[in-house]
Amino acid sequence: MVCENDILEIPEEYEKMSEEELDSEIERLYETMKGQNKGEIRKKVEKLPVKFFSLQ
Amino acid sequence: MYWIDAAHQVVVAEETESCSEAQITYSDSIYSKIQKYDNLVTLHSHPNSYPPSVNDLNSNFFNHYGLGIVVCHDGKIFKYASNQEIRIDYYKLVVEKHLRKGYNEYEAQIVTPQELVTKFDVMVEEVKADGV
Repeated sequence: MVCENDILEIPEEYEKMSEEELDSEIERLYETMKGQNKGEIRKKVEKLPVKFFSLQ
Repeated sequence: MYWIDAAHQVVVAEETESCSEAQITYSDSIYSKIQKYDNLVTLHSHPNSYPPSVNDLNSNFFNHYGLGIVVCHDGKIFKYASNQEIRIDYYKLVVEKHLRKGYNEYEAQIVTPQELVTKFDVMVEEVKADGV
């Protein structure tokens, strides 16, 4: 098996951000995504037709 | 990486000869095989033993996979699934936040998914010995 892309490179600009800038940007980006949260992840996983190695 | 039809417990496609050490390449052949299925289970390894990445989560979401499994070389197994896109820049900023708290890179990548599951429609869990 080969691994999927799990190498994370943090941009230098992020490392140079102040704590306030970092928190502010995290909050801003969170606001752009939170509306997508339908709270249905369990429903998605439980749709699998069979218990797969008891992983669900 | 393996794509598994959970209903029939059959491997429908596999890619074990990626040209990139760290990235799966979706060939036309792979796409033609997997697009017929819904709710596939994907299985791949993480040699550096990191938990599922933001790219793993987004791949699960965009490709409508049912469940993802990551097998780490340190013996850990993670299951994951996503019902929304997670912005990669957001993920990296959160990792940076944890690095500044004093976590090392591995610890930051363990803690970040744990935080994501509290805020977004995603699941990342380690599979314990009893399968729970």
